[in-house]
Amino acid sequence: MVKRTQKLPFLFCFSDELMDSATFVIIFLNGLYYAFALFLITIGLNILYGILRVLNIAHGGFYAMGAFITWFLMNAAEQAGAPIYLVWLCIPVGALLVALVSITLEPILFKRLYKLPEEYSLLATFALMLMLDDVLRMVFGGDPLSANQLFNYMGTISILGKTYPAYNFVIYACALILALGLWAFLYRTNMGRILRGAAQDSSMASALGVNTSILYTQVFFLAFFIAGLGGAVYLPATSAYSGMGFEAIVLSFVVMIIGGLGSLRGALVASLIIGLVRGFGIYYVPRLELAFVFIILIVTLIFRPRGLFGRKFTREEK
Amino acid sequence: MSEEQKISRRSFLQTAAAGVVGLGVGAGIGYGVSRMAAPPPELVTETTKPVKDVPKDPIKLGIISWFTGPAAMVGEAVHNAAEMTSDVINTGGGILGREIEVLKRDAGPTDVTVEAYRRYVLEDEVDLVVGDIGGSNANAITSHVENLKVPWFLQCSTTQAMVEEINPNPTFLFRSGEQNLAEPNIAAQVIAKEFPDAKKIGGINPDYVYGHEAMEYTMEALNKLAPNMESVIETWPQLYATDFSSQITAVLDAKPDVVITACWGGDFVTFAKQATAYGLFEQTKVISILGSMALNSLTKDIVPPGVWMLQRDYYFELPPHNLYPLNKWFVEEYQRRYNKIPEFDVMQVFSAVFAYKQAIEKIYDLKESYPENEEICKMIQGSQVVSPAGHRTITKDGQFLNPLPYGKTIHDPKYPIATLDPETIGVVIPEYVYNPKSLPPVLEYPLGTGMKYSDWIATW
Repeated sequence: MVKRTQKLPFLFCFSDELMDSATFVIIFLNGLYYAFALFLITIGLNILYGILRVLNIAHGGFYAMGAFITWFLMNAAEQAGAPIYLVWLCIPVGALLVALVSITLEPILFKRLYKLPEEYSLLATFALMLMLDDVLRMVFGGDPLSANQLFNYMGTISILGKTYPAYNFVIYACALILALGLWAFLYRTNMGRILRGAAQDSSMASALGVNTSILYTQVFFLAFFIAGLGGAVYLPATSAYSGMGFEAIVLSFVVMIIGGLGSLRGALVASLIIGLVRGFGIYYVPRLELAFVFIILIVTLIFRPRGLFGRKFTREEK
Repeated sequence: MSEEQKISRRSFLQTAAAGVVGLGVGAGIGYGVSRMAAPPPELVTETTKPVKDVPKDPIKLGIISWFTGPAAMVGEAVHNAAEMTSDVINTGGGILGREIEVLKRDAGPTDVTVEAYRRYVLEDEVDLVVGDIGGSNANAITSHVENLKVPWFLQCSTTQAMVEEINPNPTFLFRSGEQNLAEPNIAAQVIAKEFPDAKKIGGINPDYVYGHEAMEYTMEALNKLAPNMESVIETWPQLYATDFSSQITAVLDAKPDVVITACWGGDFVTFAKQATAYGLFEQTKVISILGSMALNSLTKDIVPPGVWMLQRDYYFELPPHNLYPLNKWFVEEYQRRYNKIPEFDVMQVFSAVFAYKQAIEKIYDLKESYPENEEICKMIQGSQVVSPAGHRTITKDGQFLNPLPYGKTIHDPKYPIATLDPETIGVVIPEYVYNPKSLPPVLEYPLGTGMKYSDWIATW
């Protein structure tokens, strides 16, 4: 019989002791890290759905593209012996390149999906996702790719005697700035008001002189930029690998459903709930890591099917 | 000039362009092959009998492996290996004059993988299949391979259930990589030998059958070799995880003396990066069971010196190049072609295809006619084959017996990746265990008796 200190080794491998305060802080930060990474992946998807009602499965592919393109840029910068500020610059440039490449797909594919039921969006963007994944693998190969300059440059800090990677704070900062920036953009600017108005009634917006075609292109650009940014910012802390978009998109949808489809606030709160529950859950019940996310999803669907901050469905939508 | 003989300017230009492209491609292929260094004499085998009545069509080598998704690196390595092996064999005149043609299909869920194999056999009429498909797929495929009688050489996809219960005596199914339980055995031996004072063991292993088997059986073996050790924490990140921080924190909090991880591919790269940042490698000893699968991605800023790494059944520096020119040639040729160091999958495919070639030539020597699949498979069983990792013995049940190298990482300026410190490299044969607490101290796995590997561990 294998010796283990856990009381119930199969399922409930509870730790025997309560954690100390330093461990609590680190697990809390780990939870935030996972939450903000999820938020960065989800938010572009949420914007597209919230404003254009397009369920873009290929969002995961653009997120992966952000990671791969940024890897290429960072690798080139390293080969050229570029100073560190240029390596930092690779992150927004990578995101921008994703947006520029992706925006060409808007007139070809996405524009045709606006007026169609959501099932068409799901199928068409799933096909696009498969193609993007194959193209990335053909271009960059099957090996996991890692760009470590920024992660190593930031190094580690000591928190209550525990070592912690400083780069994680870049992810926190990026997610918070993005959340605040988007909130300010959507709720405190004329452009944001127009966008929200067009989301509610695009015909009325057109009748009032809004060029919705250009407006939608701008929304796509923003969503693709954020998708690319998610991959680019996350890359230094992890690695870029074939299929990473699929892993991301599943979790993004879970966040969207828990938070409420199209809700910015919902995406942030749902990411935080998932991240923190998962972080503490792994400490106490490591065998149930994957289950935590889906337990939260099921509970949400039972008690609040429209999500924490989702709008009420109309009679027709039901 | 008749109507048929008229050549328009457009068709002329098309033909000329096609010709130029064809010449270019042909020249490119020819250049590629011609640049290949002559293979060592061990690889140049042929029949002693005059070749006659042998089919002229090429031998079709089908690959089924992951070419998409997070495990695409495996498919890429298998494909590279098949391509290089077929080039070597074709350059030397093929197998009894038959060239090898490489085909590939993507593995997927079980139904997709089974379908891929069936289509290979029934539509493409392939002669042999190589490739990794994952444990559950391998379990499902075995009956199809035995029914359709086209040999398949698996590499890593060898669960104990498949080897010991589902298909313990296969005719057409071979495993050119070691069975899964070999690694926990070696991991336990390394821990018992290198960290005799360790008491607390932790685990960060992927949450699927391989990860669980790795942890479970390492602890089983350790229970025999070092009864003072116990598992204090086991964490199970999902397969293809991008965040290990919570697992690493939980493990650090349990203060284990040694941490076992069976994470592989991109998972190991991310794990190692985050483990470095959280100080895991500084605060405890880490032994990686399968991290070497992503050998070419293990750069020095990801894997620090001092990590103990198992290498499955091939490490590119073993046997030493000065003592074994075949391995030197193999590594250099693979690097020339793909700008990468060959991983263990590459060696496994290479040795599998050469075992197939050797069997056909031996049978032809004996009966002077081209053999059927069953004859080929039976000839492979119980034979020996030359490989870049040294000679391999193949058991009667199709298992290639492979010693497993391991060692502690260093940062050698010769290589861009973390490699093994030659001072620490050891090689263990999984079918033997040295247990000084038992009599006799060296125990041998009774091959061919049907004894389960775990039952053998229980006898230590």
